[in-house]
Amino acid sequence: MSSEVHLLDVESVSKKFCRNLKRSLWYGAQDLASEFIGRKSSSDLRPQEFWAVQDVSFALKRSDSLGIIGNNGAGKTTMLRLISGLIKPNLGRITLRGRVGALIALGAGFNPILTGRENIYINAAVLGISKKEADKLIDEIIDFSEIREFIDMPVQHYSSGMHVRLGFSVAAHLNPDIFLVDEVLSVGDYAFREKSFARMSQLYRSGAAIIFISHNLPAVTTICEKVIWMEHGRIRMFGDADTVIKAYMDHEEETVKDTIRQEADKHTETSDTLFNQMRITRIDLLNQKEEETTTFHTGDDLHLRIHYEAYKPIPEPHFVVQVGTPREVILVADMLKDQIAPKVIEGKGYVDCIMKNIPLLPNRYSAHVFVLGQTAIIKIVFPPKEVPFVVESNHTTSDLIAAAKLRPAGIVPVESQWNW
Amino acid sequence: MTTNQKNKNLELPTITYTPDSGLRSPIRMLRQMFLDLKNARELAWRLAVRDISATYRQSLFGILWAFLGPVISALLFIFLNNQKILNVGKTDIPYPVFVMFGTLLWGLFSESINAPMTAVTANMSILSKIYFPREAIILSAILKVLFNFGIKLIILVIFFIIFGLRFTPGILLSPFAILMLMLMGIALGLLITPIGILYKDVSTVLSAFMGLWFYLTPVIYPVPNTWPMSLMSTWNPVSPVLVAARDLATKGTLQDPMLFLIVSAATLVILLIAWIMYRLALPILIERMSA
Repeated sequence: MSSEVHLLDVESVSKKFCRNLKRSLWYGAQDLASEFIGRKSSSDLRPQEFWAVQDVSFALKRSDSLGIIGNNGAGKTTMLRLISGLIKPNLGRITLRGRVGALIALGAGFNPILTGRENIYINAAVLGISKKEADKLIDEIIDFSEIREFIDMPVQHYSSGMHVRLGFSVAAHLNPDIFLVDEVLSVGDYAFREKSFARMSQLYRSGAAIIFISHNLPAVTTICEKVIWMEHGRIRMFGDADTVIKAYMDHEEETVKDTIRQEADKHTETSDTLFNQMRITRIDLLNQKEEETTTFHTGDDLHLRIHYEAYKPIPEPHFVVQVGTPREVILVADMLKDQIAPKVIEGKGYVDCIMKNIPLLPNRYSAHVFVLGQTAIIKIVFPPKEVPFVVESNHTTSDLIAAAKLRPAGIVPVESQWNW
Repeated sequence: MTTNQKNKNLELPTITYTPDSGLRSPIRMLRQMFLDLKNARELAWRLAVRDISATYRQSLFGILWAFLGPVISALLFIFLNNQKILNVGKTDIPYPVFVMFGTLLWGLFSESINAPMTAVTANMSILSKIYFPREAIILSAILKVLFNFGIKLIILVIFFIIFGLRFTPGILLSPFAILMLMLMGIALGLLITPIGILYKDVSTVLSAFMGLWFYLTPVIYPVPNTWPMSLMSTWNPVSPVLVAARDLATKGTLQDPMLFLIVSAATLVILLIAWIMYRLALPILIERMSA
């Protein structure tokens, strides 16, 4: 639909930064001077400056969810701060339509001496929720945070988890058109994170556009449809979440491989850990016909073909497969527990692991593979390899769901009986 | 798209960020400034209440401490004057009231001049993470300054009663002069905030300069008539406003209304300029002060 309104337009935006503090302050003073006389600050790099963000363009419509990934210093957070209007671009133009809600810092404005309840009002005001709205929302916010019994206690006595809960609960009750989230969900306990993710997808379903910045790739896969991969301030790749994340992981893998190769060359062969001695090169997910796939159905067999490369003979490597969501491990296949292992592996090859009749409900999952050494002392192959896949509903599950007349709850389907 | 959503899209507020200085579209900027000021009121109030209640919640005697500073400094000058160590000449009203009022007013001015820089520094972490009307920080600083001054007025009233001063109709005009004194402090404080946040040198120089400025202002002595000391009342912008506030409240008269009005008008103009500069400067300061 061409008439659909863009909530956010980022057009060729660039931003420069300076590494040296003294110079940075001096440039700041210069920028102040040009700002006050109404001149545009120069778009050339001054000594010791670099482009933190360079020529970045993208647009968001309603119900778009965009993830931004990349290594530290790639410019992700700078991009978010530019969009939220905290700092000005040096080049380009950013246009926002609608209410912007930014989850960059949780619990902004909290004062440790004041009670949780008082701080809710302060945080709400900072986030742009009026007193009237806050009065209406206060009970909802306290319930969401699940810390009602502590709400009239000074927040300095809160645990860090409670602090995060309170902060997120306020922020979750914003009703923005554009929602910016920066890594904040990586804190807090699992159950609460689950709740936070649910709240985000609710916002997104109701038409908000979401930008999510995270190092947690499975979480990005869960939340975002499109992903931008940033590198040295530029967009390295833009596209579907799965494609970009796979490309990014492959790239990371290459980088790690190079380092490991270099390390392996350096290290003597007496090294007694598996680190540097072997790595998992690739994991294929196969269906019953041994064709590659990333989509399974509840009750299917999950077939993983784990390709490895051993730089020297490895006696009795124990492969371990963990399947789960970003938040928890659900299924485990462990050679150490099953007390089997190849006698020795060397060079390139593969190991098959077939998990029978996986009882997972439709969702996104990922499989995590690593290798332990022969003895009880755990020696892990670095890095563990991860592969995402999707479980879709088939007949069995939809029957169950139809019976329940509900979206599937939980991870595993179960037939329940109620008595009273 | 549903009709509902279409309507929602139509009324969406639009913001644009470009590298251009805000000065390029002055009318839009001015309109935005006053809009933000309006939107900032509630947050400013919240932040001020937060800071004030946090201060007093952790204190046993709370508000009583607010009286300590002005009472001590007033007692000191009364003592020095009585012992003839300090000779300030004849004042129209009892010297204790004169000096107490003077130091309170000077305290208001010097707190005001420091307020914007202190407030921005203290709130840098939220300023650099969340966007809200930037005016809220300054408004809340003003509220705190007024609150502190308001408390101290209680002692002043006590002094008025002890020394039997008569309340004249002129006292109704003195709040205007007091407000002007505060705004002058805020305006000057805002003016130095941009560079003062970047370089700590500014606050060092300011605190040294304020010590000198105190003695160059007729706070503890009446306005001198002889040259060169009389220059103080003409070349020191604080003098006419401070003296006006004190005279209006204690005597109900205004020595030089013209001068007072000129200085007041200039204060308001400078305040507007300083406000614009503050707005233009903040993104640059945030960029430089937080990694």
